[in-house]
Amino acid sequence: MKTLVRLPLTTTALALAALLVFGCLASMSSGALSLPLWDSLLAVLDNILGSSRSSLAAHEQAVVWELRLPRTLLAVLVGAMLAQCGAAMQGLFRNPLADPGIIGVSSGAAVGAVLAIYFSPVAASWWTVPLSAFAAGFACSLLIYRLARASLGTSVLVLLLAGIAISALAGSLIGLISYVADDSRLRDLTLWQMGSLAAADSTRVWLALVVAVAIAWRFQYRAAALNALLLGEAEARHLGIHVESLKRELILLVALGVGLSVACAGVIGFVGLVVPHMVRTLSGPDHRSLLPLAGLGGALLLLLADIVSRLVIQPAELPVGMVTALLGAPFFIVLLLQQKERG
Amino acid sequence: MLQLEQVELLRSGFSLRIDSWATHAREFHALLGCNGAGKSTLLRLVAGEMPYRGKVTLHGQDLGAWNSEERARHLAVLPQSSQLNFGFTAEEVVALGATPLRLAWREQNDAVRRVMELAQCARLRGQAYPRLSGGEKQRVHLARCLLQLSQAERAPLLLLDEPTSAQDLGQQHTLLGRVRELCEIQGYGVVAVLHDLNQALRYAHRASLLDAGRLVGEDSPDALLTPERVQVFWGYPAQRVTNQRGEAVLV
Repeated sequence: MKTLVRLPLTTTALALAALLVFGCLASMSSGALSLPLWDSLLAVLDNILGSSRSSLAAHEQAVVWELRLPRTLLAVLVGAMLAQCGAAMQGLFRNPLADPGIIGVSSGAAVGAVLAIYFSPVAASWWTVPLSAFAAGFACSLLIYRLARASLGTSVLVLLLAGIAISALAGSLIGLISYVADDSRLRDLTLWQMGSLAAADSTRVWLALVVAVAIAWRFQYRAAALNALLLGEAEARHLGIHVESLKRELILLVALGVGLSVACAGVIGFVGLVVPHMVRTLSGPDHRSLLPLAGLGGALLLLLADIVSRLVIQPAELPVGMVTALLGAPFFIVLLLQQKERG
Repeated sequence: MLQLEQVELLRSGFSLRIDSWATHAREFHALLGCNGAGKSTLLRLVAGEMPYRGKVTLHGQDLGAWNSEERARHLAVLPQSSQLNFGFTAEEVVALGATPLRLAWREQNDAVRRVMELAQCARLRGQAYPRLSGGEKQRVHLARCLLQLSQAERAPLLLLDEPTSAQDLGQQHTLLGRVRELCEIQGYGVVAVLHDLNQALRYAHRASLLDAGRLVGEDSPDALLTPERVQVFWGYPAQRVTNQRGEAVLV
């Protein structure tokens, strides 16, 4: 019989953190306007400390400070939130194939955003779209939670089925609006559903930071209970866990995290599904290490995807949701093949 | 240690009513009866999984009044099988038993090692849980339950729901032998749903017979399991013989 081989936790965490720092620096200096890495970093420090060490021109400094820094930070925060929410949902559903959108939050948010794109004036869409996306996503997951609640507690199976039904309903609503929309709105609708970090600004970054820190803290606090939940609900109860309050809290946190991610950056698939799975393969399913490592991994994947999305067809950009899958899928397949070989 | 008084199950479709029933520390108590008699339901009721009317007390305190973590430190359930399909090591599965405990990392490691030795699964420590055999998995879960009960201030109660259903003959006897030792040496109370009447005859100190949700007999297994009762409640014309070790066996 074989002993499980895993990467040591500290090594994995340090490697991911180092790659993330490197990714952040690369993200600050790359794009349609290529800037020296060191000067880009100095430009950020100059803006924080009020110094003038960077040799970048004023417009280049503005690109770094006003566009690339918020975009980099938003990629890190959204990626981390999506991956952590994915890990939590996979734990709640005891299924490594669960997606953070399984409780209807992504599809609900998509309907909200699509309605806002269609009905609100273009000038106001910078705030109506994210707000409507967040509200609809959050409302949708609460609706699904209410549907799954019965006298003896929340049924995970009903939660899953209600999620599928609501997502199907949302899909047809989006289809209907896309059908009646004019060409320019149709393009906006389609692009929004592929995700983009181009709208990053300080408001979005601060909001994402507060929510990402809050949900990461709560997830970590609940990590041991999530481990117990993997045994089954009855077994978790026997271990002293209040399963119902755990489920309620997880659903609320995921609705908040994914809702805000979708509101800030549109629909970005793949990160929440695959990053936790990758991390689990590398360093085990214990949520106490899985959740923070998935956060780092998600941040890294989205950041790399965003850099690639900016570089491939300069000066235009590819939708980042497309690139996450493009980058992550081959890596994921390699992992699966290795797992299969190990038996 | 565990006492039921005028207990009635609140669930439509099945009626379970127990007027009075008790089990004690250092006692391996088997719950017997044919399929649908209410054995597993009674076990699940005691485990807190079913709503009921009446009085269930553990160490004199109403079951519902226990703080959930404190109750978990005194009452553990070894299920028939587990749904766990994530790639934990056997050692990590055992460590899940520490959820209601307050153990420092090093203390937990020592405790995990100790209970894995007690449950005879120490050699499985670093192995992938999903790849273990049914019997090995069950020993790992027994170790998990032992860890969960390791900080009990009063005699712990272990509930077993058909614990040997997925195991071969050798594994069945190893597991039940271990559980009986826990009763006799460590002072555990054990309530086990058993289908194999010979297992009850060999390992249980006491047995209760259920039929259609009612308790119809309680005694030592030897006195309870007469060929007449087996004929009435299981519809099987069994004979009782004595084996070479002098133990009663139903054939």
